[in-house]
Amino acid sequence: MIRNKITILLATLLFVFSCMKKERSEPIENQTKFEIIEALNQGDSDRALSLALKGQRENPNDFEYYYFEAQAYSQKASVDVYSLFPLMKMEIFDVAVTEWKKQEEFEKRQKSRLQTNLLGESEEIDTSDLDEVNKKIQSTPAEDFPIELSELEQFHYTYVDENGLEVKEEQQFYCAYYLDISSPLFVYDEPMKEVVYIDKENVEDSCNSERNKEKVEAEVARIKERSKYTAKQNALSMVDRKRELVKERTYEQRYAKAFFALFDSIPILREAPTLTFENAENAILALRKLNIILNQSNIPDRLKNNTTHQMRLLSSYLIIGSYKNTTNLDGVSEVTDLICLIEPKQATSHYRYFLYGARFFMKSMRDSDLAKKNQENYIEYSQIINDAPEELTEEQIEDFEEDTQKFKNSRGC
Amino acid sequence: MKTSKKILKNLKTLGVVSLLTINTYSFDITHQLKPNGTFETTALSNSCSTMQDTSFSSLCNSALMPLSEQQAVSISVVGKSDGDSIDNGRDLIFDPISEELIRKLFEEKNFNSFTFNSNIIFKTSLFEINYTPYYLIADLYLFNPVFPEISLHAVNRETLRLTRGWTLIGDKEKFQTDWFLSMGTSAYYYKHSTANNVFSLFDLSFNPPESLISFENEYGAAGDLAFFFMTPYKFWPKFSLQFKNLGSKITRNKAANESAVQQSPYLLFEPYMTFGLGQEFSTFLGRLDFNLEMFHSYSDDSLFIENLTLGSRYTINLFSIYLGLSSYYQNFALRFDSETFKVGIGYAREEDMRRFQPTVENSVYTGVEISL
Repeated sequence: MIRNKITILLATLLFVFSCMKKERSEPIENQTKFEIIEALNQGDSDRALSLALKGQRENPNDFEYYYFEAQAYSQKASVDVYSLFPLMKMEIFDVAVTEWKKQEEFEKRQKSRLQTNLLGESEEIDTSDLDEVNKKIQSTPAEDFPIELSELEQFHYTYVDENGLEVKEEQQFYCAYYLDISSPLFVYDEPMKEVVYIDKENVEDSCNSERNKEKVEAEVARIKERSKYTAKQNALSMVDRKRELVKERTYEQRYAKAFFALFDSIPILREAPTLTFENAENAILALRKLNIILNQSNIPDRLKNNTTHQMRLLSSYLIIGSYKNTTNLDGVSEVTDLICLIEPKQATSHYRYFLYGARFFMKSMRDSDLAKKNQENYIEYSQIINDAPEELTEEQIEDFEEDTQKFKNSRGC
Repeated sequence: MKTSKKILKNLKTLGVVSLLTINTYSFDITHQLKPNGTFETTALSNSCSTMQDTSFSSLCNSALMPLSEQQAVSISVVGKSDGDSIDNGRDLIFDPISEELIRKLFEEKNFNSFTFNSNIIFKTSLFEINYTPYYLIADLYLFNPVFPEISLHAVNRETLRLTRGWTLIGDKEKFQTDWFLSMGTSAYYYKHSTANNVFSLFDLSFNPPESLISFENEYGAAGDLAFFFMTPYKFWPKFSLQFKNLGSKITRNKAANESAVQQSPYLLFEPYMTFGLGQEFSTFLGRLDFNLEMFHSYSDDSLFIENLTLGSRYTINLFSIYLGLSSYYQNFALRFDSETFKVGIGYAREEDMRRFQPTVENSVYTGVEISL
């Protein structure tokens, strides 16, 4: 009985052992990453950096080590939750999590601000009417183009003969009339001007005689037919002209809005961490590493999203920090002070940081909805920024300082 | 004879291999409150597989069922009711966040966990049915103050378990004076909802939290197999051997393979084994139980000594004092038992992240059981 029970027991144990599958365990690589994370948590950026570099040497295809390297440089640049805390406290943390509905307000404020106003349209300018008119003009054959003729307005050329005597109207050999040609498809109230001109057979004939009237009517009919083609071209160029005007106004509105948005953001800018040259250089090193990650095609979503957002954060830090150093923000009390209080020498000494901040910011916006909706503008601005010189020459610095002073004078600073 | 020699040789090999295996760690997370756990098992750090004839014996080791004559219907709940995690959670959610709190969270208390378990148990002398409507855990790991991220692991598990035990050798009436070997099995059905996500503070600021946390459901069945062995000799310890979660589809390595910052539950849902040694002593006032338990998960090789746990219980009439000690957990708990009502409170020092936990977490567990 006991032997049977032992046999059953052993058989059960053997069965159980055979059911147990030993799964492969995770290599030590994750431990290194964890140590890097803990070093960052403790604020030990040197250790985090050395472990990240070691990880890169041992695992060159694992871009998470580049990400960790960027974190270490960013920590050296003092861009972390502690330095940004006054900013975040103002905008996010000043209320309890239970009242985070205000997050939506913060999001709305952020999205309508500088980047939208500078890069794209915060409000959609409605050009659908223009598009409709354009379509209608294009689809109307020239020979059927609708035109409207005004009343003929007779005029006379006055001139003097060889004796210096004014030649009177009834002594002239022609009849001349002004004719305005307009169209319901013109977007501007600017009729085309034509002159109807007929020669009299006899100078004594009145322009109102039947014969001359017939001649005038025939000329008008001829002009009408000819004008249809010209009117269509005129209508199309009017549409183009109006589009340009709308665009110009949009830019003006946009820059005006951007300045007002910047003015509204002054309390936030004041709380932004101060930029030192050392911090700025570390921030650039971090951005370069993040750029390497963003240039890869097959990286995990988490890494890609974090890299994009952090690139925006660091580049904004460079721009805002540089702007803070070049402008006496405490003295800003109205919108024009944003320009009036710029110190040109400081601005030129921060040129490199403005440039890198702008470059990496545009890079981070590459895949955003905003850039996709305003692709033309995005490409244009990116090109301008990428083509900008790495350093300013002495001449360029002098020119900038002169131009800034002139601009200030023109604005009554 | 030949068979038993072979078995002994195999066991020796297993022991040596376990002692000499190399450490490899992913981001492991474990909890004292296990899916089938109660206040008592938690207070003992789950080192209780040789403590027979208690109300929690069959939950600790199903092979102890033949030695229990209790029959009851009971409802029990246990959970973390106070401590560092609770305080941090309260500060984060209900008060404006301060820089001091943020710094504390990153540098000292960047791991916060919450656990809760509930059981409805129908116990007879032949079998036991245990329904767990909610077994909840939520682990939050906050990291990287440069670009803050949160690693969240949350589980909501529901199980229905049937437990049965058999005496293989000996007689339960004479178990203390004769050789005794029993076997127990549990079969259970589970619905396992889990979320294991990593998101940044930036994501949290611009998206509703529910869009960042995605739960996956898994359904399945698994079982436990347990053995209990006792000799008639007073100074020989009692032995137990358990194989937990056999056939479970919940594994560890999937999460661990994906990222260093994703949490990997350990000694909770995946198959693992335990080996226990214990003894009990009757004293003038009451009864003293000791148990030494070793846990081993098959999904990685971990140091033998790190999973060694000592559990001790001293019972005086209606009061019991519990002690649980291991490398990562130290517990002290008190429980009051009446016929129908049991309540317990325990103080614990925990390191759920094991060697990666930056500072020890202080927790308070509370457990209530009502017998109908």
